[in-house]
Amino acid sequence: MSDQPPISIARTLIAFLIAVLFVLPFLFLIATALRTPADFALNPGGLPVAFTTANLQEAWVAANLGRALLVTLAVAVIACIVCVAVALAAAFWFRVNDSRFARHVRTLMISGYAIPAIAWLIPVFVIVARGGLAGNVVVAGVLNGVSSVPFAIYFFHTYFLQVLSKDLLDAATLDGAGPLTCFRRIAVPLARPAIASVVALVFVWSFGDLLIAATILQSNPDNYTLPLAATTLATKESVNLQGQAAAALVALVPVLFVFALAQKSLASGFGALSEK
Amino acid sequence: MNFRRNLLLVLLALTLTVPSVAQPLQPLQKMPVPNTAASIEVWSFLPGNYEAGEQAFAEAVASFNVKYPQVRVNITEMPYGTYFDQLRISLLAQSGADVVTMYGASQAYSYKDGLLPLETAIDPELLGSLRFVPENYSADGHLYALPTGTYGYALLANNDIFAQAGIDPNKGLATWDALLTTCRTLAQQGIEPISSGWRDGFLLETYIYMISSQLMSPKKLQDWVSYRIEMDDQLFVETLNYVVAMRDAGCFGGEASLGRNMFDDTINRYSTGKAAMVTISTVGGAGWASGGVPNSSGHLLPMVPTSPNPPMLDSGAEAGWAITKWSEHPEAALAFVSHMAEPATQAAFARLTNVPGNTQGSTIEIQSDLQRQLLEFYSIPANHTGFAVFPLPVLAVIERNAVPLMSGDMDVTRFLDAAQRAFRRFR
Amino acid sequence: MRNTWLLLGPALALELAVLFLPLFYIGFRSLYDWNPAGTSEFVGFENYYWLFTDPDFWEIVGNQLFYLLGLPLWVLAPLAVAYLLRESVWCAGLLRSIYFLPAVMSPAIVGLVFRSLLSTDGSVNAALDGMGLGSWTQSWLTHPDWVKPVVILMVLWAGFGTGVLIFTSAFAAVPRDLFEAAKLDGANFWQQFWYVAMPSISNTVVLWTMYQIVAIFLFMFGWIYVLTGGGPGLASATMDFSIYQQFIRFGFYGTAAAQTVVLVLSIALVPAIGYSIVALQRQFTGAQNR
Repeated sequence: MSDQPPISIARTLIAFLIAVLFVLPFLFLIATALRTPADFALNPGGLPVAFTTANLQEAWVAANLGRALLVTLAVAVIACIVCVAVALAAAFWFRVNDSRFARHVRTLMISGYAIPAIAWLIPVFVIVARGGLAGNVVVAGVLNGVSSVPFAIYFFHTYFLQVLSKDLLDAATLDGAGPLTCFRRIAVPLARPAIASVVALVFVWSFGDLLIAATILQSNPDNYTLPLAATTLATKESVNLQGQAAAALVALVPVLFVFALAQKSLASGFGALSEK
Repeated sequence: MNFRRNLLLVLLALTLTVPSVAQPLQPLQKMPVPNTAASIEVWSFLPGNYEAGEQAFAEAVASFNVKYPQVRVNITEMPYGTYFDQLRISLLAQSGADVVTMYGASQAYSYKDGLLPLETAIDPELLGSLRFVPENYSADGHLYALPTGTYGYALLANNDIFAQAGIDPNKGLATWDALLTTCRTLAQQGIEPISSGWRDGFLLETYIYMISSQLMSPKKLQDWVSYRIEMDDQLFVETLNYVVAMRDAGCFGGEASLGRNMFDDTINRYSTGKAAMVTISTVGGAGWASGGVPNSSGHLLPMVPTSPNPPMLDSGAEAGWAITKWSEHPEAALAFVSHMAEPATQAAFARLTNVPGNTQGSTIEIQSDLQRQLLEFYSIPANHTGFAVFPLPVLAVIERNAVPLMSGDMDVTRFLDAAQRAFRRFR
Repeated sequence: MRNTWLLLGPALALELAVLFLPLFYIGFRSLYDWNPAGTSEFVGFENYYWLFTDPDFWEIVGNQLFYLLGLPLWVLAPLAVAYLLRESVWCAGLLRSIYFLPAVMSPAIVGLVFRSLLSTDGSVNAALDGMGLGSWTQSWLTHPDWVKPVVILMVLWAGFGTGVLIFTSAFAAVPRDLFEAAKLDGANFWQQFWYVAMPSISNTVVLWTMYQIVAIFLFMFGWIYVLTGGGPGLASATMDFSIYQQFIRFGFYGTAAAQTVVLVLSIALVPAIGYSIVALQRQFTGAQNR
């Protein structure tokens, strides 16, 4: 564009200096994971000299990170499916039903977002444990999914308000389509970008969750998620800093992948967070 | 759909959560191990504590399988930092391992709703041959964990650093006042006297055990074991005042120790020559710490002036083995726990881990003067500990408040108030 | 129309079962000497009495309020940078992506990274030592004066990119000539920021503030658990961390339940406060416009 103001060197410099604060910890993490313990002990604040992949291999074995990765993926995928399936349908219902009662129910269901996880998680855990389902990956996945349902309903509903006009719905109903058909044929295809956002967000959240994993899954060492494995690994006396960094690195790679793939979707999802 | 089923279960459970009926506590009875195949899961934080820990456990399982080939034993190593959280969650879920490692009676008591009393199930002859059993009974009169192994807290001194500072460790660590003077002298020369780390809180617990044991007459120990005295007793005020006196004499180094951990920072720093002394709990630990400092000597923590006891050290069972209520193979679990306590197993275990057993006359193969010295300490008849009696919530409060106490932000009164509140709630 | 309940039903049932009904259950249990693994005895308000007479509880409440002191920073820093990035910056999009990176990371992993960076023998202190700034080294995570500011900065680090993103899209909706006019009037960067930028997106600012307040009550567990363990003492402990500790580590189930009830009730107050602020503001601006 021609009326774009010229690049300001001072502004750019400040912005890049800030960016350094965000990149450095990652570089530090990668460097720590890949350097030898002796090299680190010699110069913890300096640049690494001697590199090794032994830390990664050791952490991979000690914390069973391969299995943890699969478990975490399972939890995140179940969470995404549960959350999107039920929230999308509910948001559509709220789009179609706009009675006073429906609006109250909507407010209630969205306000679920402000309930601290610890508050519902402890009683739910006690009940789940009595049902013999503690340590169950599906339960952890469902709980992660449900914890994001309030946000997802809000997000989908806002989206439907924009793209799903009353006229469109009325036209479909005149054609003899019931609400379920409308939902399947019209709402779901229209909502694809919103679904992408919610999937990206819920994936990132449930992939990074520690609280639900530490409560629901901790009694079953076979079903540790990556954050849980990485943090418990860090409390193991025999594991060094390099091992922790290696575990952290393994836990980071999948989300960085999602970040690279779905940055736009993530951004629009996060944007919605403060537009409530 | 899976989540529907789970949802139904959740709803169902929600409507059915009336207080469950109390089941009378039935001690486990002696019983034979069936010949059918069984598999038991064992959780322990111990294997990582010893250099050849995994091998030692593998051999213990192998010798167990000679007697009971039909029982498969799977040992899962758990990190200590989250171990007790894992046990709590396991307890609430009433599922998890068949056998768990415990430190002491009161820790086990914290999980009593999940553990089987063992006193009537263990072979009386075996039980009678073990040391440290009485203090491992819980306040409710049950034995929830079968103690094995022997630990004893002692100091290791780097003779080279002492020589450099012009101090003879035998004289400089002979009495309480000499210890404080030694600390001041070393600190003045810029040497960290005792390798210290307070962040994880375990070192403070160690010093509380060491000094409170010194202060406990046999009668006082009995009072503590049966909870006739609590954390607000003068005994603990005195104990903490002595710890603070050591701190004020500079024994624990500077502010940096607040950010370090007992595990493994203190041992690492000692073995790399960064401190003159270190606190060790086992012969194996001493071997590890002295790896980088071959010229090390072992010493008792000098007796505090008001101690009613002859020279002794805080010494007790290294760990205990407990059986969970939800175990599907309690007979096999019982057989395994008994096997871990048997003299032959403990002797084999000691060979690999350098942890002497708690069977009468148990010893280890002596490889160095340092080991000989420490084993002499371990055999002092006056040794005892109140360690097994500290309840888990009290320990958690002590661990949490270690840094504020040692930094001076919290005084002894407030520190003990917090510990006592946890004690009261626990009771 | 009957089968439309099939659309709302699952979400409603799941939310009720997982998020709402358990709150009543925990409220009910807060009146018991709760023992989920054994028998529970009705004790009335004894758990609340324990809680309110426990200085530890008030210290945690104090922490929670102290963390709110970070609010101006959490709001103004991303706001200022979003404004800065609005124009005249090379690669602004890439920079925004970089800032945004922490938003996708697990708080537990972030906590791990910063724990090793900031520990006494960690890289930050070592680097300071190496640069001859040995006197600047600190016990960042174990000194009661330092640990809360460090946590506040961590929260800033983690939420900064999201804030920048949100304010950027808010600025995009503001007509450009508003800024141009200010510039022509000779307003400098900060004057433009304070008098033009801030007021033009005030709604977004209020909402982001609310979001940060709620987040401080809701999402701190992962960080505190890994980074500081609530320490030194309880100097950095938050309510959610403390409830988890009471329940899981100590086995004080009844007090944990009572504390949960207190937490939920106090969060219910926050939107109430927020709504009244927004309402007041609307009234205020409405009066001005009139």
